[in-house]
Amino acid sequence: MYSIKRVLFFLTLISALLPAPVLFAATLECGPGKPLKTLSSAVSVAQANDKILLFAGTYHESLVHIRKPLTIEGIGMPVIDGGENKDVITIEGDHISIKGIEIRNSGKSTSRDYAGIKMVNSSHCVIEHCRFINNFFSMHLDHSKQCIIKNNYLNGNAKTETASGNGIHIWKCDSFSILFNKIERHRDGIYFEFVRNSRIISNVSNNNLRYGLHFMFSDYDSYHYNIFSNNGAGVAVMYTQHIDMKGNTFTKNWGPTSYGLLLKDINFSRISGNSFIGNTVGIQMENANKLRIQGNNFSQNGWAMRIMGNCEYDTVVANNFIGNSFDLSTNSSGTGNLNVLEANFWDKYKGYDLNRDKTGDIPYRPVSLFSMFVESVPSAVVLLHSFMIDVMDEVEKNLPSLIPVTLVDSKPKMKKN
Amino acid sequence: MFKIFKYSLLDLLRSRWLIFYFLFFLTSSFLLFYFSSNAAKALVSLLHVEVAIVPLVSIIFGVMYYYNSREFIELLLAQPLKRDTIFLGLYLSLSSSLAFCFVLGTGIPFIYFNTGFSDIGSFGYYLLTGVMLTYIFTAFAFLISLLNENRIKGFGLSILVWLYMVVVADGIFLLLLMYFQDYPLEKLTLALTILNPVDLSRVLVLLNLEISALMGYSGAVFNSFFGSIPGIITAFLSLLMWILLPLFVFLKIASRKNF
Repeated sequence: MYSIKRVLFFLTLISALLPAPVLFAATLECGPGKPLKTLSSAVSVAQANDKILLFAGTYHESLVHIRKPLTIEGIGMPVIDGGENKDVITIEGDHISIKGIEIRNSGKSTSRDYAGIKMVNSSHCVIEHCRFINNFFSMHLDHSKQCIIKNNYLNGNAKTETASGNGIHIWKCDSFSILFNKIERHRDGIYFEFVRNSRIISNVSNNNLRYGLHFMFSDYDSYHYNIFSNNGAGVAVMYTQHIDMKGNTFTKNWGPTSYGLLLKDINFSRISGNSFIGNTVGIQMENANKLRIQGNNFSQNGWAMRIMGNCEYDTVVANNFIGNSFDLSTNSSGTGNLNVLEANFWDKYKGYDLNRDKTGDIPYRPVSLFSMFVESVPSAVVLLHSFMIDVMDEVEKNLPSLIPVTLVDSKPKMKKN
Repeated sequence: MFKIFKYSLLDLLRSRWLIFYFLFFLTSSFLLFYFSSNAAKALVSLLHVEVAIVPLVSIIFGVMYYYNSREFIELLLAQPLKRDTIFLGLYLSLSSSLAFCFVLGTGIPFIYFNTGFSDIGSFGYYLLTGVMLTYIFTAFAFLISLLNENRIKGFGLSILVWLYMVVVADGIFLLLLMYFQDYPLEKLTLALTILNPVDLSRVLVLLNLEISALMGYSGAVFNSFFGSIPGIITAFLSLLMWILLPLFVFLKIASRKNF
């Protein structure tokens, strides 16, 4: 008798200590032929920490509002069709995860930001293995923290910039991880504003109307190993500091106002090991200060880098410049240049290395006279590869008088870094 | 006319100079295609050769040929033949043989190295503009040598024409752009480009290569013009005008000249 009492005592003790929901979490089934026919009914019936299994089928629902910790898991990729009515799913709470469902047709508006999944004031949420088709914003996340967005496919079917939203739009958030997503045909692929301590890793963002990735006022973030191609204006990082950009690929961002990477008002950041291939401008720098640009590959770009006169204390080290129409151009005469160029490989370098230390003995001036002309008169670009221009460039390179004499790589590499 | 064309063409194709010209293009394009990783890169380098060498050789060789065949021309003039047919026959045979050497010299390496026929469109433009340039500058050569009995003067003038078209015109072009840089210059640039056959050829080929997309806002303006059907037609009409104008003046003067 005594021992039973004791066992009971321990049991009550254990159940009191353990968080109650873990013990009593249930799994609800929802789908055609199941007792629960719609996701919203399942969400309203479910208790906190329950798991909802959503079976394959098309659910015509919108404005599904999730306020309690739930796991929603799709079986066989069920489709939730918002019917173009406002937001499809709204998340407002902690520990909510959504996995393996397809969300279609959110509302479209010019005054409100309707989204496939809207997240407000949440934390510790996970959105993974989902598909977002034809939504205005695919994900609109604000005032949240510590969430993971992983392995999703987003296609916005965007036609014009004004009538389309962003793929992953994050506003005033902290500690987000955006991993392995594929984003296409939105206005901006990924949009960060006031987002801190977040990382964007191994995503593919292409064919977006404006930027593949857009940073505004977001500090201490990193993005690594992403691919950005064929975006209207490339990638923009503006009004930020302490950003780590590593191993990304920027390709074929073509057009009159297109950049591989646009840096504007950015400080203390590091750009390393990226590839810039076939962009109108590889990196455009405006008021970008104290950056370290190291070990990147620039090939087949119109302009590999454009460094405006208001950029100071930038270090450009050990990069490769191959087959670009212009390696470097600037709008300043360069007398007060405070940037450092060193140990880069320039395929247009014609110097020699007598002491065999793999470093050219004469300095290389990457800013050509013609690029200075083009900078002041853009139309002059029509003379590219003209016989006269080539002769002029060659003469100027040997006897510089007009090109900025301080913007010079004093130790150019003889072979690729 | 056809007989004169045929005989002088056959005569020309046996000339050492033309074989040398053919071999020059063959080796230079062979090397460029061999050492470039893709056809587009080689084409940019070949373009430098085209816009400088084709006009130079056409005009110098044209002047040389005309002076050397003066006796042959006088002989032909003594025959009951129309002057137009004689001169047109000579002109066509010379320019066609030069164009033939150019097309074969660059075409063979292109086909040999580029079995996938990538960039075939821009290569087509390259060949077409090269042929047009040949016809333009041989027409100039004939006109110059007809106007100058003095050989030294003729050669000097032909080099001046080449220098103007290839180098000086671009310099003036650049000066104009710098001088008027406060104004929107896209239309002026387009007009100036169309008016110079050498610039026009270069731009037509460049815009058909991928780099057209890389030339920023101005590049986009040119691309939209030269990429449209009216733009292409205007460009080739302009090149055609540059052939017909000197040729017409040449035939006009030749028909009245007392040899």
